[in-house]
Amino acid sequence: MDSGVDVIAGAGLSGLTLARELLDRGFQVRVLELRRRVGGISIIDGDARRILDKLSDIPVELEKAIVRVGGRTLAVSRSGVEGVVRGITAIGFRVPSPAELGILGDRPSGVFPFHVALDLTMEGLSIGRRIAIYGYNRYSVLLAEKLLEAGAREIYMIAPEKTPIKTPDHIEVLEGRVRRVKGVARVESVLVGSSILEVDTLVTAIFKTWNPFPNFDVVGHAAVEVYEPQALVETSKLLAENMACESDERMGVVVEGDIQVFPRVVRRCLKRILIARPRGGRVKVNGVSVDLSMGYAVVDVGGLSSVRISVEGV
Amino acid sequence: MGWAVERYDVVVVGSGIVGLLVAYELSKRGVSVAVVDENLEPGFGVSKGHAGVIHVIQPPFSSLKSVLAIHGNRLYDILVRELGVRYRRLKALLVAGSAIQLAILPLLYIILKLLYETRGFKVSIVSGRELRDLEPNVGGWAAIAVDGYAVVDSFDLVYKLYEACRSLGVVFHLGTRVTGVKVSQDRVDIETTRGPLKASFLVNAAGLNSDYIASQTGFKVRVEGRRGSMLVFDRLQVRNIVAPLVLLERRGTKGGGVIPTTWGHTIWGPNLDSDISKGDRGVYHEDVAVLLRRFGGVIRVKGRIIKAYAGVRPTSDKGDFVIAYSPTSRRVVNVAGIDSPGLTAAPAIAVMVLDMLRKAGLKLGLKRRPPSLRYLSTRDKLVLGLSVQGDEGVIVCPCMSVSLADIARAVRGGARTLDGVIFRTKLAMGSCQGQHCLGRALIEFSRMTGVEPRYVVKGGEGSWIVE
Repeated sequence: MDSGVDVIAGAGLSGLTLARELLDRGFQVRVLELRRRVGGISIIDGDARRILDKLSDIPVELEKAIVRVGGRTLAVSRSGVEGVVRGITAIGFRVPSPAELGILGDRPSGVFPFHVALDLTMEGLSIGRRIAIYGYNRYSVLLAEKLLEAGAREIYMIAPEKTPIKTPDHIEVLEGRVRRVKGVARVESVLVGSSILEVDTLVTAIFKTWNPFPNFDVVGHAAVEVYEPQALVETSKLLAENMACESDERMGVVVEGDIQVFPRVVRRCLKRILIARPRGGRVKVNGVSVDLSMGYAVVDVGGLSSVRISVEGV
Repeated sequence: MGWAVERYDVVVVGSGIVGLLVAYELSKRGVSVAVVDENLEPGFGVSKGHAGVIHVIQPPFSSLKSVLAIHGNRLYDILVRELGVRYRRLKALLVAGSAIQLAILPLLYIILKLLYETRGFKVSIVSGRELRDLEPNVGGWAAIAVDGYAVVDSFDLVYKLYEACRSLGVVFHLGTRVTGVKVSQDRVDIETTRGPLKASFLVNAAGLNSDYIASQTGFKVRVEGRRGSMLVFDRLQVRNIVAPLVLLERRGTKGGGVIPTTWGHTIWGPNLDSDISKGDRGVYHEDVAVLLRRFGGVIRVKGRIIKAYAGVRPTSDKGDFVIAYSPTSRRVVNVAGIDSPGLTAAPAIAVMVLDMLRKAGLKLGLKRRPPSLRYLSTRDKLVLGLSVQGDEGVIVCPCMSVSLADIARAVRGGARTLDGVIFRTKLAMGSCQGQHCLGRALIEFSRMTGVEPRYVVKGGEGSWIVE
């Protein structure tokens, strides 16, 4: 059977779950992974790892990159180049550049995007002693624990805004925005709000969705800003269900406010959709109140021809 | 260096664009050359903070910098062909985005036509419709087009020059600071942090330190760094250089242009900081605000701001390039205060320096053929639809299609730092700014060079990456 998909870019939790869902439905699909390992950023997440372990039988082509070159999408590996027409982006979050985050100043060594900090730590290397992590979420807290194991002396979590997540006792959380980096050779300090924090390392752990492949559909962290492994699994299940729909007829989805809906294009026969809002709170779905304190919810929309979603109390 | 002090025909202090071009032109003529630079890699001083624009002319028109810029501009086509450097000729479009700017356009057109066309650069008026065809992302009523500009990959230029110099026999003493210069009747003695060097002639192309080197030979010049900040977007927004049309550039508000890079990004800037800042390469929130205000009105933004960085222009107190013998001896040629348009003028500066050395008694041989440095990167091959194999197919940086083979070539070409790899390959310069590649790049660089990860530095001394 033809799923309309040839490849899944990325063998993290959502990519592998999607592969399982499609393979179980009898579709042919290949999973391509840039790195030499599977699991993406979920490898430091205990809950996610338990799910990943059950997906270890899915064949993955490692060290196979998908790139956009001259308007074409290509799969490139040691064995050569293939053109790719249809695929799903499952490459996870994008960490915005310091400039995008409003962090200016010097450009010394010691400023790492989350994934680089993770990759180096997983290689058994220590990225610094006094580390500021900008971004306060499930993954930045998990990384902080890893960094402490790897030899970091002090970790400061910097939360750009109030977030309702639990704080481990041994990690200090500061509220504020990182505005400047100072340091000639290596980071010497960062400016948080109006106070100077003396650190030798800054890790940026603020996450945005992205899809560099315009002809691909998208799943997981690349599609929606959620921080629960179960939510990633749900996006993959929903996308697979959506793709398996017999009819092309679409559901009308109207969204008011900072709410993300997955999948982006909902087919009429899809019974459930995922609604996410990193700030939590409650939303109204066709007048019915839904709790988003986990940052997301999967809601039943079976039989509806249109859905209206708005933030409650606005 | 030890006890055996080698004697060179020429020692060049500084391995920026100017120092490298002087060394390159000398070595092609059979002159023995050593280059000394305090940085760990060539081009890590002033040259690394460049937007890559080849200008046409710069007021005041009688200045040395204007004369050399015009000459340098004409020399570029040959230089980049010889070295196989990424380069593209284009126009500069001065866009009238408001009624007031439209009103001054005819006057400015006449002025520019008089000034530029007599010097060989065509000036024309572009109507609103032509402008939209030429630059779909630019909003404006009309524009003045000036031909003869170009953009060059200044990193590619630096590292191709470095490789060419090395294969022509130029000796590089990098990570080596000059601590003293003594000029005598028949030679120049150069003290460095790594021992003495002897030369028949010395060329001082030390950028921000050129005033210090000059003072060692009795030549007085003051050089100050002036910061220029730039924003980098991860998409092409324009095909030509675009700037809003203004009659007079006030100091401190000068803001460069919207510049398409040869690798598919767009640079906004550089602005010109009015403050003196010898070493400061920081970008401030005010700089970003100035650039956004200046270009936000004429450009429809495409892509994201992936980087804000600053370059430094070494500006002399004479208000012009200073290219002169030291007062005590013609064995020393000082090249100081090479601010904008230094990159443009650099090939002409090299010609002038060679001529001065020849007049001072240096024997120049016949021009040798430079080595061919043409090669295709993995990205080039993919763009051309060619096949890749082996390490070329192991993509480390997916945004810029940089493979293991590209990193290996950078290492063979002399990369000693992670920035050296980044500048040569464009690794980590794409939309994700290294999120998917820097970890692996460090591991692979370490493996290829045999340097443990904790001893690998980003750029300068002390810029450790991991412990």
